[in-house]
Amino acid sequence: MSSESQVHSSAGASQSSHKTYNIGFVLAALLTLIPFALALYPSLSRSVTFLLILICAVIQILVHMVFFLHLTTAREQRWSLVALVFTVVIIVLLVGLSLWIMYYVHYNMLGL
Amino acid sequence: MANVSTKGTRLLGLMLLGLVMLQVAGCDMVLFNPKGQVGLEQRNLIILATLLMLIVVVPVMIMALVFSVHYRSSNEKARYTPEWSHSRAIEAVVWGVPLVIIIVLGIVTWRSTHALDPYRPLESDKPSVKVQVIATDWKWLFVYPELGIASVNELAMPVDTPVDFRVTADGAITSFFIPALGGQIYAMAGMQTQLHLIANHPGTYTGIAANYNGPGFSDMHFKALALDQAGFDAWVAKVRSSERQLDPDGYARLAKPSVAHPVEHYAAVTPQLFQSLIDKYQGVNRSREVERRLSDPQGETPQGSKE
Amino acid sequence: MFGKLSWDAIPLDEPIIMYTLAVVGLIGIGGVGAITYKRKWTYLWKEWFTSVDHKRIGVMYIVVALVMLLRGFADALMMRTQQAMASDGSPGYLPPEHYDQIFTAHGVIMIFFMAMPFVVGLMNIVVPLQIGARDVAYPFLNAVSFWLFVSGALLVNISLGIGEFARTGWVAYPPLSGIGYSPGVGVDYYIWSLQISGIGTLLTGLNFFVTVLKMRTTGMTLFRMPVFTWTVLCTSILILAAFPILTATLFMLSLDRYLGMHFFTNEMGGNPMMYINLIWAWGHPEVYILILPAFGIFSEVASTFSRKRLFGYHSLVWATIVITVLSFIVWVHHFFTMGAGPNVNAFFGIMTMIIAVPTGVKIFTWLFTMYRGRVRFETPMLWTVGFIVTFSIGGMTGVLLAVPGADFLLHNSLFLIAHFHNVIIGGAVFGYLCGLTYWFPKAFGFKLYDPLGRAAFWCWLAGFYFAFMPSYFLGFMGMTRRLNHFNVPEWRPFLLLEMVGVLIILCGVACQVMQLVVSIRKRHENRDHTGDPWDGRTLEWATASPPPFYNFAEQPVVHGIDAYWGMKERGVKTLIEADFRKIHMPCNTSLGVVIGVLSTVLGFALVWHIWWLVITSLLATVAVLVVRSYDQHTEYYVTAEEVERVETERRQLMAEARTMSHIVLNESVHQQEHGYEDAGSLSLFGFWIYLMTDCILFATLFATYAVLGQAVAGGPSAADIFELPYVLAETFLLLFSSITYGYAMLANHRKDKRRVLQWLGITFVLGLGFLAMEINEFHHLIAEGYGPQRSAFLTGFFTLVGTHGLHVLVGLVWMALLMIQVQQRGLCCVNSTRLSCLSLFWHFLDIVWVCVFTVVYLFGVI
Repeated sequence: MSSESQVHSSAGASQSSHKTYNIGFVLAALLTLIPFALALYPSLSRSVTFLLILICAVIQILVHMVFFLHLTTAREQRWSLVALVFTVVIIVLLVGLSLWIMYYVHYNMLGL
Repeated sequence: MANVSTKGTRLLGLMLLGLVMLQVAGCDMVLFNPKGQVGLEQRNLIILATLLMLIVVVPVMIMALVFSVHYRSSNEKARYTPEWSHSRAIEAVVWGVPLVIIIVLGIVTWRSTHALDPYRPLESDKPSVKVQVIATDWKWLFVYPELGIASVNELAMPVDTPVDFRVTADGAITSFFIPALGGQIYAMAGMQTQLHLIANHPGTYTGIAANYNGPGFSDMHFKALALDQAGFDAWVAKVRSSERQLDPDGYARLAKPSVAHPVEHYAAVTPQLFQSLIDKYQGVNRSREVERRLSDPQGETPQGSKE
Repeated sequence: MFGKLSWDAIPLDEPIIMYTLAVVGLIGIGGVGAITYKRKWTYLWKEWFTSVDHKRIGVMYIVVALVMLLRGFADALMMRTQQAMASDGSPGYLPPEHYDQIFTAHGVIMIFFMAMPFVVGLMNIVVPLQIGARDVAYPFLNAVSFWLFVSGALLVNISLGIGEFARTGWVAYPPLSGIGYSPGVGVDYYIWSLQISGIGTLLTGLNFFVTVLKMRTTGMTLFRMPVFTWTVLCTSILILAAFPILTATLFMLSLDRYLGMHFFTNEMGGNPMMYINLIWAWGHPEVYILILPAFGIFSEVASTFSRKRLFGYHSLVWATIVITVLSFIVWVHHFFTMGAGPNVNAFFGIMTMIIAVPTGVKIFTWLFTMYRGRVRFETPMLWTVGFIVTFSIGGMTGVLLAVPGADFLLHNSLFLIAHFHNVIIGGAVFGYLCGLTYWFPKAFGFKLYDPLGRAAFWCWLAGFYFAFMPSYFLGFMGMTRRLNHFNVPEWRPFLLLEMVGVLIILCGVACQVMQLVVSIRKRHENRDHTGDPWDGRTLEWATASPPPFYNFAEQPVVHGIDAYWGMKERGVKTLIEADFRKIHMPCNTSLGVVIGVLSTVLGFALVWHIWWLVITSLLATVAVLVVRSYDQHTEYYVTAEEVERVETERRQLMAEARTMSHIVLNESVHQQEHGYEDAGSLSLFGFWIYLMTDCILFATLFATYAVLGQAVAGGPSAADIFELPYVLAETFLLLFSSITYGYAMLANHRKDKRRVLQWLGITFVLGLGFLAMEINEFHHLIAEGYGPQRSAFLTGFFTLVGTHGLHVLVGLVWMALLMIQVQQRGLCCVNSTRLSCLSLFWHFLDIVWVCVFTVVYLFGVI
């Protein structure tokens, strides 16, 4: 959540600068190139590739949140962070449980 | 106080009425009069869960009544502690007792859910009868793949013999349910669900569709006949003596939407009818297995309820 | 020209409907005529329809809810009568096509257009007062929420006279609700009325979440809030987390119906079971949305009418939080019989039972509040005790149904019907009616006539038992739901008993209508002069009845739970206001009504496939929002003199009535005003929360894509059609645009307008490039015959990527508008805030894109 552009900035002085965005960009670019390279030129086993791509994605999302959205644990942003964590929990539950359910439902319908 | 005593009397009156109704209806409550092992175990679960819950509910009712009467504002004699709002002991009990009950019920749930899994074959020394159930608008088609016969809206089974149902639909989602014998399972197009039931008493039981699937839903019921072995053999012979055949044309005619379809018997059934209906739908559950089978025209797949 | 609409749409051949329409028409004309005759249109427009005052909006919600209660109840009467009559094999008086619409409409109306607005209305009236605030966080959005809800309600009612309603049951399972089995317009009415009012509900959840978190008065920490406010906070969280799932699911159903896609069809890879899964993932939190505020109401009432502190406040709060979280892990209990297997079923069954624990705790809490209290059995307390007894039965049967083995016998039976009516009527409706009686004097300044209130309660209670207890037994007797005729003589006596029950409830409703009439007639005798007719404990009772439009002349300081009671105990009785100051308030707006009208037109046009009207009303809605964004006169100051005048008038009235004034002394006179100085951060926070709901919307689409991803139905798979280098280029375009937007934000901080516009311009071009590449990819695929109709996999792909693309389009339009506005008005506070919000949105879109290229393109190919 950006705290760097408000007229009444309750978060105090701006933490961001061109440097923040530049570093963020380099990191994000790397974290994009690596998974694409892994997918275009498969050299590892499928499950390892899958895992690596996933990890890159997760890290890149964190990069976006820290460097572009300026998410911190500052007190003024506390509720935003809580909301984000809660949303992630809900998403993990919704998607995770749905996949679990649908997997078994699918399996049970095959007539095996 | 006028309100409270009227309320008390009313509650008692309602409970009495309930009891009376229970007596009156007792013999007719099909779920409490199961005719098969599966239904019996499911019924016992209902009773057990109710009793466990009553441990909490009965005190609640009593407290609601007693507190309302005793602590009404016109009763000056009752103790009045307006600031008292906290008690570790009470908290421990109201969190603890329900938790213990739920833990017990939870264990029962875990065990019973596995034991009563509709997909789980029933243990018996008799070989099971295999029936394929096709829910089509708005009637039930029963195919006996091992016997090569089929019947509409009439299901027969020998007593004390487990029946393996494979269930699908040729239309909207509905649910296959014989209340007297035990629980239900959804019937869905392009998919195959399973149900295992057994009838331990001879008789004629109603079977229904338990999920709304369109205008003909209210008439989508069938008769389940639990017969002794001789009776069952006679029924099979009767069906075999029918002139009808369930070939692809016959099925196409049958599948046309109809309401309150009369009982029909078919002496012969196209092999793989059930599987072909599932394969017809390219639902997501169409597995690679199915794709392979469809692309392999020479492949002989074995008869029986596995298909 | 008019799509599918023709004169045939009016059901002239159905006498029951035509009579109903005639009656409704007469009542409508009568109402309109009466208002015109009394020349009240200006008053209604100025004071109510364009109001952004939470109290007025709350009252309007409840008025509409009560009207819809009558319609839903009429449906119930018709159903009960039909079933009682048709139990011996005769067809009854309702043709099946009609009956099937009635039971669907009954469920939809009661849940979405009676219970939801009722609870939202009560939330609106009470919560800002309880937390010592002047209004909700976003008053304009509050008005828009209301009119969107009205739009949805209108569409449902229009379906009675023009076309038909859905015949699928209130959750509309496919494939029955798909275009194949429901080719008529019924399901479309269902979809659009729910989508439109669903947006309203989501905005309400947003509003109250931010209001409770950010607008509490000084000293009111979270653990000093009244329990009703706590339950509203948790309800808001449930709304925010669950409604995006509904929006996404209905969106996918509408894509199936309108564009021939294959999310939930039987063919081409679709999976109806995923709809069932998703709709209940929403549906279960939905019922907790309905019940939690009722729990809150009963907590307030039990404490006030027992003249005693609420027992176990902390326990209650934690129980509420636990219920909120757990309500997301139980939804499979709605479809145990679908065949998910014993592990899945047992897990969800056990989770469902665990929720019973905190619920049970609450019941004991209320009982122990009564214990050693002095309980006054006025109408609200009657509802409370009636609820405790009734809801316990409902809860018990719920736990029963949570055991999968038992559920196999009872699923979809009348036992289930009895259970959910037990908890919804005995829990939620009793709660709302209790709250209505409790807070009516606050809203209108006079109490409801009590004897008729009691009569209504007894009728509802007895009627409920007669109408639904037999259903438990009918379930045991093997009766399933939604039957419109059958031939089982054993069921008949029970059904007749239930009809009697419904008639008794009808008497209760009649009592309530009479009560309203009589109360209005006797309002001068029953006037509430003090603002505190029940000797209340929470802050809303510290204001006049009804409160002045600004709620509090000065926002009170809070020192503990039961803030007002604490003040009373400190002997605070008279008002000493040395300093009246000006108060910042929002302006009324007609745009709420306009948006409501446009949404209704849009919904109607979508139902009937009148495409030119769809486009026009959409563009008009966008235009309205653009106009609003230019509006600089959205707030005003109430002068100190005006405040003084209102307060003095109140003091005089109270002196005349010679009552003890229970007005709050503002013990600390100089306080910081809460609210409008922080408008920028409030907007930003609200926007962030909206983005969280958008995350959940996307998560739903991702989950569906994951489930359907392998269903290629003989068509191409991911590896066949995706070109990774192309996607890599797209990704970098979007990534660059994120950086350039960041540079724009830095320039904004430096107040460098020229640079801001430069960087925004570059961002816009990059974003446009991204979109162009995406459209190109879609175009190629469709040209090769690999459009979304080809298979479920392609459906999922096009929808997920396409929805992201639509968001990008919205972002670009917004960006263009902002560039124009920055050019015109520079980097003022409002534009600055909007730039910040757009930055959140733009970065969020990039994050979603990371998920998209990972899950869709990369995982698809490896």
